[in-house]
Amino acid sequence: MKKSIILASLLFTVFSVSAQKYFTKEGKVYFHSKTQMEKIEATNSKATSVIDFSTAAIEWGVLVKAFKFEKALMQEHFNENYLESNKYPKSTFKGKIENVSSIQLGKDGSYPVVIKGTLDMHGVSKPVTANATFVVKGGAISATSKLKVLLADYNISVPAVVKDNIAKEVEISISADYSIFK
Amino acid sequence: MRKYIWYILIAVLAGGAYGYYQYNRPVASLDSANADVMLDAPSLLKAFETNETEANTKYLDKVIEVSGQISRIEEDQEKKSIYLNTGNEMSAVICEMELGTPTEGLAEGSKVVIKGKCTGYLMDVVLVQSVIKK
Repeated sequence: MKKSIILASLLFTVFSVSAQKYFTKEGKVYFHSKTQMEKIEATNSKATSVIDFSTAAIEWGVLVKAFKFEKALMQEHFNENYLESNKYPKSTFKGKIENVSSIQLGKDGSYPVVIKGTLDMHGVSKPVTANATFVVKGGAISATSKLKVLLADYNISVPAVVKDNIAKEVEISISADYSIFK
Repeated sequence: MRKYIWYILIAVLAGGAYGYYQYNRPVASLDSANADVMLDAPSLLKAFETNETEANTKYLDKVIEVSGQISRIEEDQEKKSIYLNTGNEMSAVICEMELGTPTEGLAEGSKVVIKGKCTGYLMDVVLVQSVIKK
């Protein structure tokens, strides 16, 4: 009897630990830069992200070349001149959810959190803090966040001729529907 | 003298039109593009797993014609992606399909040849602007 209780509790622990990891390979990263001269926007819907709720760790990765622009020329300049995607094909974020315990995975609701970590882009790593919202609905978990990135922080220099066309600070929106990691 | 003014005007107009066209040029479809490389999904993943730097030099921005078996089709309002089996459960070759690509008759297990542009490797190898090769 005792043995079976121990076994059951052990199984339960194993199950709940394994149920703490979530991932997606279809995360969305959208950014836009808006000046009086021009609006530039691009979407990447192939971001990979993993969250481990037991350690509060969260990771994101995107392939720079998978950003889609409306205009080919913008996409070419983005890849060749600004992000230099041949040299730096990936951009990653690694961080921690500060108040992870406030998220109740078993209870429907909207949970605002703060995420702190390091954003690696264009070969430069910088600390970043972002507000994010986790939504739990019928066992499904999704997350959204917005952050602003100063191009100069990441050694992305904009030539003088187009300096009025590209915002110095770019707004990035992130969203993902997570699946349980089996 | 008058004649020259006309020539100059035409040159300026032509230049302007070319510039305008270049500025608005959409991203070209891969429909009629020739593939730079042809290989199967497991070999493509293997190349990145073995030596990512080398695979990046070889495959980034290249139009790849990849053959394989569909392991998953992911679809929402905005996009469609076809996952190709690589023999590794964790990693697939993910082909983000060009908008409006018909995928009727394709299902898990179907064998396909897909042409797409290689953007690199995270946990999976990702191709974008993909089209089904007939």
